[in-house]
Amino acid sequence: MSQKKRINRLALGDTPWKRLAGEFFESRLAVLGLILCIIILISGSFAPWIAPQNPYDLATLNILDSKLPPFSKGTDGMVHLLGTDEQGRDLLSAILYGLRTSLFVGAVSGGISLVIGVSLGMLAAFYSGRVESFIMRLVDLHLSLPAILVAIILVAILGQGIDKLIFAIVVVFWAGFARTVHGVALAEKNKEYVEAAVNMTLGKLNIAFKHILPNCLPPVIVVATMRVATAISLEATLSFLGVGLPVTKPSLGLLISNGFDYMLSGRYWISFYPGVALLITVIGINLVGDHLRDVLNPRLKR
Amino acid sequence: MLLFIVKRVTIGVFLIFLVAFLVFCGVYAVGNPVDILISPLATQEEVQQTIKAMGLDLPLHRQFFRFLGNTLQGNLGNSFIHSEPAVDIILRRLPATLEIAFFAMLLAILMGIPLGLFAGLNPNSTRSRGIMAGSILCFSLPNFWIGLLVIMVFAVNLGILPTGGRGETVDLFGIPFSFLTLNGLKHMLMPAFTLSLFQIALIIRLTRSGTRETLNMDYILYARARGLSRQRVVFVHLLKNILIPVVTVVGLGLADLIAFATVTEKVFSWPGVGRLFLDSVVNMDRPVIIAYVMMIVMIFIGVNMLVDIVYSILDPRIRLGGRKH
Repeated sequence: MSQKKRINRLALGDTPWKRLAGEFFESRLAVLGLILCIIILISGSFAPWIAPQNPYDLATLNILDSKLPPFSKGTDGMVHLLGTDEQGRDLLSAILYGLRTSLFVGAVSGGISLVIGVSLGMLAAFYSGRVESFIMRLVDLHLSLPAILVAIILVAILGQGIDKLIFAIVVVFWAGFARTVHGVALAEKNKEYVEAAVNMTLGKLNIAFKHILPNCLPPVIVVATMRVATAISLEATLSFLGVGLPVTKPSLGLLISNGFDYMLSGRYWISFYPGVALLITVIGINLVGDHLRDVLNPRLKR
Repeated sequence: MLLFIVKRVTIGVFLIFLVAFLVFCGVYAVGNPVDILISPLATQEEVQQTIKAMGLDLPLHRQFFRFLGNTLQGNLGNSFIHSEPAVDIILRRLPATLEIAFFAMLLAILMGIPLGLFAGLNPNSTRSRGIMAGSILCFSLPNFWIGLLVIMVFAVNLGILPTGGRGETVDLFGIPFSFLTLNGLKHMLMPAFTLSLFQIALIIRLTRSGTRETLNMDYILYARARGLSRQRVVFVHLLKNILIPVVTVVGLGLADLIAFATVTEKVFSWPGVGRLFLDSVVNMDRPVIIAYVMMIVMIFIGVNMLVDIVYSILDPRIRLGGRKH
């Protein structure tokens, strides 16, 4: 943005949100990412209304339709745009439903670990001493172990199921949030407005959550967006390894895993298209997150 | 100095015990292995005998102490499935995983440093932007899917590389290795490349940011003012200084690679410890799960400890960190 335009915007008294939005839309890549995210979000949430077939309804599936290549016609005259899988499911429908599951797992596990991580991080920043060293040592221990292994072991112990999977991802992810928030909150703690609040004899928790937390949010938002993408990847990986979601309600990872065996015989689409959906989701979220970081970082202001 | 090392080692040992306890408790909660192992036709008496033979009739804490005592003697119990010591099975499978992890690290260094250096020296060129975009992709894409794509392109469509397995091996000191035969190398190429992608991306980013920071340093300016050739400035003066963080990442990354090999081994059906672990998880083969996790935790804590200690030798500020001056 040119200097003049920027000054104009400031002079017009734009709200910070408006300014951020303006800066965000300057990058074409970020806008592309946002469009991808919106498409994914809509097609995932409205899957039951968009999908040509209900892939979970076994009555509508015909085993004669199994492993059809893309654009072929099924026995009931339906054209399968992306082909079918080994059970005769329309792959496009299965992907839409799988996307729904993956997004749900990503968003819920990201959200829960955000809340837990932020709360513990703030507590650690505010109650220095034993509480802080206990929480932060726990975080250190956690981050020093490989995420994928912890998740595999947890899912192996808890068993399959969407709730257990979410729990495992939360256990893996909260520590990252706690560390980010702890770092930012420590820096914020020494600023004048906090001193002012302390002098007004406001309560510690009040200061922490009402005054400091809003100022810590920008980096946390960035980490959170990226984390949703990582959670979706992790879920897909676990499902691929066969320890994630049950076979009855396939997520994208499970669809890819199911198609893996057929890929070697040249039936690439069963694995490939769910993978493309996963790819678009992860790239979209990352593009948005990456640019948000630049926009929200005052040190990078041009 | 000695005090610092002793302190770090104590913490490390404590952590290993902690993790051992957690894992043991966790794995103990996994279903009953007797149901899987014994045929449904077995009589009640036979079932009781098996339970007793495996020590499953004792209360949890007794089992844990027994396990701890055995662990200290290097005995982690017999595998329920293979009925031989879990440690032996793991050690037999470990060379395959180590081989691929080391090969992946080698690839990561050979590709990451030059690419990162290039991107750092020409930050605005289109090619550098391409490299950086690629590194973001390597970070964010699920690794197993990249593996599948690689198989699809090189094994199924082009047919130049095998889809999986270990290929021909040659015994070296009684341990089979793949990297000594051409066939084995061919089998290793795809899995090692897929495994290394994350590390390549990491090394590219580190090298690039290091290069960009170091380029503005006075001593680089001085070296150029002295009329040294560009090659000499870049490869001697600059490279030496950006290698320090890279070396740390390589150390920690090796442990990461061994852990993450679980996924790669599954994709490429590479017969290493990772696959063994996944199979054991599915079969609830408790001793093997615990032995594997203990091994990984020991590697991780050991490597972290080593890095800390080496750092404290190189940089006294860390050792004295907590002290006020």
